[in-house]
Amino acid sequence: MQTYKTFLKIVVKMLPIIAVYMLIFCLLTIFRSFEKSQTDFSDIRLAISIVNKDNSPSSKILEEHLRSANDVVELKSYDDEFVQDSLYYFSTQAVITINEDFEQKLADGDIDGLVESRRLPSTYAAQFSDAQISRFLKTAALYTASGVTPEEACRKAAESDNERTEVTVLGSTSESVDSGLANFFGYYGFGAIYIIFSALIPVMTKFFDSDIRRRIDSSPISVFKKTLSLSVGGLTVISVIWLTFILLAQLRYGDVFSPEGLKCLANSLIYSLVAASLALFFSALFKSRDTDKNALSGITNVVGLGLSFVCGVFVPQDLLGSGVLSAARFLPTYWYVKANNNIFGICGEVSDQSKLFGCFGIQLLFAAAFFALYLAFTKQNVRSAD
Amino acid sequence: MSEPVVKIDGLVKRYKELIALDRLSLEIYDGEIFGLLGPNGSGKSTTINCLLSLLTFDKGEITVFGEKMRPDNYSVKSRIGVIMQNVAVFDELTVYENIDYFCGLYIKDKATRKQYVDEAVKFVGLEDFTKFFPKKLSGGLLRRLNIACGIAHKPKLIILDEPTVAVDPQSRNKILEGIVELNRQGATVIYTTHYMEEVEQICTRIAIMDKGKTIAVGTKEELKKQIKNTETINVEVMELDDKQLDDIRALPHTYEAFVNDGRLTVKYSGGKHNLIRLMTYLQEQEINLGRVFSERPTLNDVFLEITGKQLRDK
Repeated sequence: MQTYKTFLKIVVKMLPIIAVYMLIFCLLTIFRSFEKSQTDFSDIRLAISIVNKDNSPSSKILEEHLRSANDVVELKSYDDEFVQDSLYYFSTQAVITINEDFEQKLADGDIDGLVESRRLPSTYAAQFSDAQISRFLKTAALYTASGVTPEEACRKAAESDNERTEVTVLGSTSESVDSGLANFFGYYGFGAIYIIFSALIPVMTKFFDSDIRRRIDSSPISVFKKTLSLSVGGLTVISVIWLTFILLAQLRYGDVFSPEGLKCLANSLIYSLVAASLALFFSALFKSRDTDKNALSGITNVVGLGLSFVCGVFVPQDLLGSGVLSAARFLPTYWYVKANNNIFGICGEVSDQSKLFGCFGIQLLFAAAFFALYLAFTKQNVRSAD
Repeated sequence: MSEPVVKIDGLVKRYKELIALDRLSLEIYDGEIFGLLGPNGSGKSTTINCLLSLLTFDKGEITVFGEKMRPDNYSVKSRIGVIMQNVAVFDELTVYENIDYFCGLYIKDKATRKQYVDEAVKFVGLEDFTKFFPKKLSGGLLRRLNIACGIAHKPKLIILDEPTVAVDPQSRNKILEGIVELNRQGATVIYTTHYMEEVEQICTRIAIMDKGKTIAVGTKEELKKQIKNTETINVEVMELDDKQLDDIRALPHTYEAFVNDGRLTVKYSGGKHNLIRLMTYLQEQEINLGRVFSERPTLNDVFLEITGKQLRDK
């Protein structure tokens, strides 16, 4: 009890640091949850200026077509100097001039020099406007070659260019699912490791310091009682961290106690246990309370970021390579993320209770394995006191 | 003599090829301040770690308070206080909280613990620093806190493993006075150090260790009697020829005489009035003298004579 109380006392003394980490990660998690995943494509519209020197029915159709596909900016003047300035200051992205004899030349099948485009070189806008005009002229030339009038050819080219195909990303979060909650709990895969490591390892290393450990081990406190006190202390800390996260999720989304939300609670709680047992294991590796803070932060970053990148916290699992996924199966975060995907039926996962419980079980096995390693290291440290 | 508080019998500890403790045997009795004296690496800390069951050993037996010492012998452990060489306190806890925590490992009753902690704070003179964090304390005050954490629960056996390393003389004296006071209050003390002056100052009985063995055990007087030297006289001389040096060597009870850097050193084994005899001879020879001083043998002389090397690391 004395060790447990002291453990919490030290945690409380370190609370400002832990609170800062919590705040940063909660804010990041919430900001990330605002992001909407892109599930469809829309056309890009450029800011262009048009000068029609031909004013024929055909050139007007082209002008109208360009106006409908882009946002037209009228310039005060179209002299070279003013156009250069406008392009430089991004007032317009391209100035397109339909030359005289546009209709006549099109009827003759000569499309070279029908339209001139002044734009900033090596920009996507330049490429895009060139492609737009080239596509229109080539289609129109094709029609005129088959005996259609230039005006009719331009109309058909415009119609052809206006045809659109609906593009939708398959396997994205379904409409019925609150993607914010899925994002929030997905990001917890990183946040939990980072915050639990930052909160537990510095405190645990105090008790594993060789001098303090010798003093405690010389006292009538059994190794079992000491380990139990520290483990319960660790559990208390992760419970508070987990509950804070849940409270934030409830405040932000309000449906944490929905069927999906409850599964998320179970998943995140189990994952917190994994993170805590991993933190205990790393703590036992350190023998000094003066362990370099950079080393602690290094471990936190490497483990936190490494697990997150490899296991699909930052990049959806269905976008990761099969080799990466095969390796990730040996890491607990993979099963946490997989369970989260399963709950929301995202990233190619279909909601399946038995698979979900399988993921929970594997995570618990990881937690037990890390805890066993922690116990083994503490026991070894006790017997090699000198 | 009564039953020993600590009995170490034939203790052997090996680190692979290195024998850290070589059939070490010791008996420490109630009320003693027992000094374990030896150079670095002689096995003092290993002995303490084995005694506290912090370290396994290969052979031998350790009995404390008449019970075999094991890692799970908590009734014995509850009567022991430990003060290690390094300050072992939590930087995040105040002076009071640190003492309270370590005392709480032994004393469960809150009221008793509070009384004990207050007494420990007073004993080490940290009354004005109870709310200070360890990082705000000077080296000497930190050592005192370290001691308070080890003795607050009023142990019957106190083990101090080199508690004065890197401590200023003033704090060292305060610590030594404290140890004597704890002993006066009824605690048996085991004190390990490589500072022979400290051992001579406070220990009632001493074991000199070297290479994992006790090479001599006894009171300081008993130890000094074990060696040939009883007195060493040093005289600053301007010049001394070989004949005069031979004459000095021939004086009664003299067993060694030599001149080094203008200083004549003469060693005696027993006898009285050695200084008068030497001074009379030097006066007769009209030898110009500088400072003259006589020394009783130290524990370093004991160590030097038994092992052929200095106790202190050079």
